This record gives sequence, structure tokens and C-alpha cells, in this order.
Amino acid sequence: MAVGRSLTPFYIGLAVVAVAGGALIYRSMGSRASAAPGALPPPLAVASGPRGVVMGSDSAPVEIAEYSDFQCPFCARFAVLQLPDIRDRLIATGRVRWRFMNYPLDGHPNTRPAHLAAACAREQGKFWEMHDAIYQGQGDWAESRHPERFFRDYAERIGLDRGRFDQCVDAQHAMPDVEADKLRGDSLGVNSTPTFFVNGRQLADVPTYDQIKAIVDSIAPVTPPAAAAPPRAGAARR
Amino acid sequence: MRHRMAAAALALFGLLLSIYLTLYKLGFTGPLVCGTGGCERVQTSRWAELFGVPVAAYGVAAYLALLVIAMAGLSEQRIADPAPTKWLLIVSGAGVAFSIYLTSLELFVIHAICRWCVASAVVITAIFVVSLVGRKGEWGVGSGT
Repeated sequence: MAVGRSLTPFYIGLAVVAVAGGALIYRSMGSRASAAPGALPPPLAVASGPRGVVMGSDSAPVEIAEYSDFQCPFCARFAVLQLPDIRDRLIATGRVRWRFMNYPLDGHPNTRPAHLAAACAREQGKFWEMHDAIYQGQGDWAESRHPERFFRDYAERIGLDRGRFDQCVDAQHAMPDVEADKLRGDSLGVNSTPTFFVNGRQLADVPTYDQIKAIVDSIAPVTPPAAAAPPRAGAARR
Repeated sequence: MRHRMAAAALALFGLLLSIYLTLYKLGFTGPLVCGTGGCERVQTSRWAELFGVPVAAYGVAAYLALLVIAMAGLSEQRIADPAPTKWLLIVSGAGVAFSIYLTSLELFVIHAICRWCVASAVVITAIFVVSLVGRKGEWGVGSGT
């Protein structure tokens, strides 16, 4: 019994450490929601004009703005099935200028980290590569508790400077641009994704490549410009 | 007896550390409090899992085993038994070897240092050292097995 009595303070000390450590861990679990980029308050600044990320020629007769959410399955389907044809046949030929507008929906908990990752890729001139990777991998990260891990993998895969990317994501200084796009969409009455505007006129549905081509043909039926500018990945905001 | 007390305290610390890292890996906590950013890089690397299980979870198992062994060794029935110290030495020795492997990966493959992982490596090494000292003491009184 002598041993038991002499160890009592030691056991009490262990119990205190265990409880304190458990409390700290529990507290870190509570910080998960507040630490997520999606928990950031919206920026105060409101974009007054078109923003987003542009791909295509400045002289293209048709501009299509797409308000898109990276976690939206319809947006992913469009990006994977329709956009490649649009890119190759309409944007690369100088007939269409494409404007991606960030429209992260509040009901999608992982979408803001995705938009942030794309915005950070844009800083290194690889927005569209990240755009494609995010949509193609949507099924992997959409329900993940740590979607940012997938985005880091994508960053490495598309050849981003990982240090700069991590720094951009951690600082979250690109988020105001994302939220500004969303506010711009709100001001235009956008309430679902994807929503398209062709030369400023909203389309009622999600178009297929054929439908978009028909619209472009109706607006600019003349033969495409002879010297079509190549698509500009990650072109500057305007 | 003192080396078992020290081992128990260290094992508890290591256990809490491993639980924290495991919960992070499983997605139950926010970003790791690290300071350098290396923790996230290490924990999101492909070496942060072994056979589909987070490496930190192996740490939980090891530290839990060490804590149980050390506490059992402090009981009246086992206080004079050298076996718990022997097992502390074996388990912590394996932990030290695994920590050397993981730290090498951090230094030479991942090129990032996770402070929590280093802390765990220090803890397991400390348990090994105190167990070794305790074992020598037990040999010294002629009770080795």
C-alpha cells in the first residue's frame, strides 16, 4: 500500500495532463469550421464591371460569361463534356471569348477552397489547368473533409510553384476577387449554376456545344477571323 | 520505479500528440498549429499513411501500449518485476527505429519538417533512454531476465 500512496500525486498529475491535453485537442476540433476558407466573411468591395478570368481573343465577336461553382455537379459536367469542344472550336478559332466568373454557392462547403485554389493557380498563370483538374476531380474532393489536400496535389500535378501556391492559399488574399465575382452575379440576378450570358444576355438553360455554336453562328455568321488569337490561359482580369 | 513513472508521463504526452495528428489526418481538426507550414506538407504527403492507416495512428497504438505497460509496471504486483521495463525497451526501441525512418523521409524526401513529428520522435527517444537507464538499474540489482 505504501507504493500506492506514494504514487497518488503522480496519478493525479497524469490525470490533469490527460484532461488538459484532451481539452486542447477538443478545442482544435472546434476550430475546424472557423479555420476553413469558406468561413471568411464576404468582402466589402463590390465589382462594378466584368471580372473573372478570360480565355480567348479580345477581338472575338461573342463573349460568353459563365457563372460557375466548382462544387456544382452540373458545372463539372459542362466543364468536362462541353467546354473542351468550345475551347477547341470556338475559342481557339477566335470566335468566342470565354469569361469564367466565380460563383461559389453557400450550400457547398468545399467550393470556396476550390475557388481559392483556382485563383491562386491564376496568380501563376495556370488558372485553366487548375480549373480542369478541379472539375475532373470533383468526385474526389467534394465530400472530403480536407479538400485542400486534393488542390495541393493538383497544384503539383500542373506544375505550380508549391511554395507560392501554399502561401497564396494560406493568406487567402485572392478570396475577395472570388467574392467580388459572386456579388457581380448576384447583381445580375444569378441564383443557380452554371448560368451563362452571351454578350450580356442570359441563357435560360445549360447549353450544349451545338447550342452554343448555333448561337454564335447567329450572332457572327461571317467566316471566323483569319488570324485568330490563341486562347490565353489565365488572362488578366478586366 | 522512477523510470516507469517518467515513461508513463512521456507516453501520455506522446499519446496526446499522436491523437491530435491522427484526428487531423482523419479530418476532425482544423489546420495544424505548426508555424512553418511543414506540418501540413508532411501530413498531406503520401508518406503520412501506411497500409491505408495514418502513420500517427500507429503512434497512438504504440504510446497507448507504452502507457499501459508503464502503468502496469507501477502496480504493487509488478513493481519488482523487470518484465515491464523490458517491454518498454522493446516497444520504444521499435518506435525509435520507426521515428528515424520517418524523420529521414522528412529531411531527404519530403523536404519539410513537421514539428509535431519531431516532438514525437523526441518523446519516443526519451522513453527509450529512460527505459534503458531503468533496465540497467534493474540489472545492477541482479534482477534482469
